[in-house]
Amino acid sequence: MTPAVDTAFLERRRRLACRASAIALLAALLCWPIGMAVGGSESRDTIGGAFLMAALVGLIASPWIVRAWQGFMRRRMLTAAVAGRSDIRHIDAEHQQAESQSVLASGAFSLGAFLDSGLVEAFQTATVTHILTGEARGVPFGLAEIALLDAKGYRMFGGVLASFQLARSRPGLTIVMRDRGILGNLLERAGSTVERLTLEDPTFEGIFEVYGDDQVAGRVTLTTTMLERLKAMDELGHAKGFACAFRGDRLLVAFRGMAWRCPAWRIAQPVDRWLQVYAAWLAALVDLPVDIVQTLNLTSAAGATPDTPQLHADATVPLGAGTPEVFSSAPWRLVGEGGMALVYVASGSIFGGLALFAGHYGITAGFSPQLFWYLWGMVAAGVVYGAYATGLGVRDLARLAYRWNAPLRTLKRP
Amino acid sequence: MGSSGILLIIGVAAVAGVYAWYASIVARRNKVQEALSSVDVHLNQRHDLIPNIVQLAARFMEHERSLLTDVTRLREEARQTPATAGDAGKRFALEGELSQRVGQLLGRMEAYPALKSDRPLLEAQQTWTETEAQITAARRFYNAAVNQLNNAIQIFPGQLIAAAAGVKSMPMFEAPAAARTAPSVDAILGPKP
Repeated sequence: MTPAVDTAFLERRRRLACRASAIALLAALLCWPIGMAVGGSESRDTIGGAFLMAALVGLIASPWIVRAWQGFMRRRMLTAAVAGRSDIRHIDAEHQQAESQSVLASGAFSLGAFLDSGLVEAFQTATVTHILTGEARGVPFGLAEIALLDAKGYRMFGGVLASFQLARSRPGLTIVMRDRGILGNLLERAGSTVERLTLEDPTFEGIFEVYGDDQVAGRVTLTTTMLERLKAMDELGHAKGFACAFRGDRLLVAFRGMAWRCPAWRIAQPVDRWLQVYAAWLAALVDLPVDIVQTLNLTSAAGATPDTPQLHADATVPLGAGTPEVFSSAPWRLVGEGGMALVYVASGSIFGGLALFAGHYGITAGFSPQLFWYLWGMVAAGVVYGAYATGLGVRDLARLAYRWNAPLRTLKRP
Repeated sequence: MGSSGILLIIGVAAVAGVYAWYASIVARRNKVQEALSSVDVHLNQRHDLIPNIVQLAARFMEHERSLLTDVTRLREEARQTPATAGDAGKRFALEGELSQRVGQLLGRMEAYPALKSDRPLLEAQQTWTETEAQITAARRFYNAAVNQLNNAIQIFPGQLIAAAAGVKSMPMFEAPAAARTAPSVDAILGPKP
């Protein structure tokens, strides 16, 4: 049953946000051509500039208002979804930073455990929006909507991470990822130090790819029964597209791209037409940890080995609140890191190429005796610069390609 | 490009293909050997547990003397048989029989109330179960490696390359026949009066 929410209030907020966003967009659409048209004198140029500025503000404000409304709806509906549940706790990380920091470094959810899990790329900091934590049939868990950022502030992962503390430790590290086809799998594991585990079940092999640091330990964890359970988990609505890792006494799960916000276009529809669907989706999300524990039978110690020592202590990850900056997404990372490398390559090619051309001219036609050493010095400097800049650019491009979407390659073996 | 050039390219490609196949067969054979040694390690762990179980059981199970003797004999035979490529089949058969007999022994212990509450024996049983899980995992690793090797050898021209390289197909490590048959109620509870 969906907990009661003030639908009329939510509808008023939706209308308000929808109107404000539409007005901002309209202002942008109207002010831009006006600003471009007005001009000719100093005062008219000033007026035109003001219109262009207003258009820019409108252009930025319109999607921002929609995003803020989505955040408002998510907060309200998540709070409503966990209301009356003693087994689960909702932490609004945007407003309860201290609590979220302590939860994400607790037994239930250790963000540091994801660092060497092979599920996400290496990261330095994280920004969290909401956390669900509690106990599912006696298994402590944490579920967080999160963005992981690298040292430069680029987003390495955006989605939902879940962590379950298991009754007993599993040996080694076993990673279950999605199957990406022959070429995708080859790219996924190229340069990785973990081994691929081939398992007996063709259906399972069609859905997942398994990697691990020990062939036998991986199979101790992934018994034939566990393969069936993982296939069953793939059928869960919210779990579709999951990847997971068994590491010590933790099961770590990643849902890449999952967001708890309602779709942006819902702002154009009255809430009574879709609120029930959204509330049901969130209610199923709140039940997801119990479903995972039940489906994978995590309460049982079967298939486990005697307690093994932790691989190493989980690192603490600095935490930020709210959504990461707009310019942190993958396309901006491509522009920021790849663009600069391309500039190096272009610069090196142009100056190095010119120097080589001049060198060729010097050999075939000869330089004048007065400028001989000067020109050959310039040619040498140009060639050295060209080789250095091109090499630097190619190195940066290769590094970007190596690290791009490559959690297995960047995984440090314990 | 003349016909001799084309023939040269075809020849180089054929040699490169044969070499790649040869390298893949050798790599797979080495993987099988790695898996085999992993199986051997876990089987030896199991052998180390048997004397303890037999000793504990012998205190109470005088009537099962022949079963205990069988277990001890099979353990010794299995220990004498090396887990090498040539003897793998024989070793696996012995291990299968040994596993079956120890399983019978553990099953019959259920009939002895004094044994059911014996703490050292309960711990030994627990360790046995965990070791069996490890052996099952090692066996799956071995069988996966053998499957890949046998595929590479048996698909043409794998036979020719494998024969030239001295690589032979390996036997699978299968569960003992008794483990594949469903247990009957009579066997567990005894025949109806």
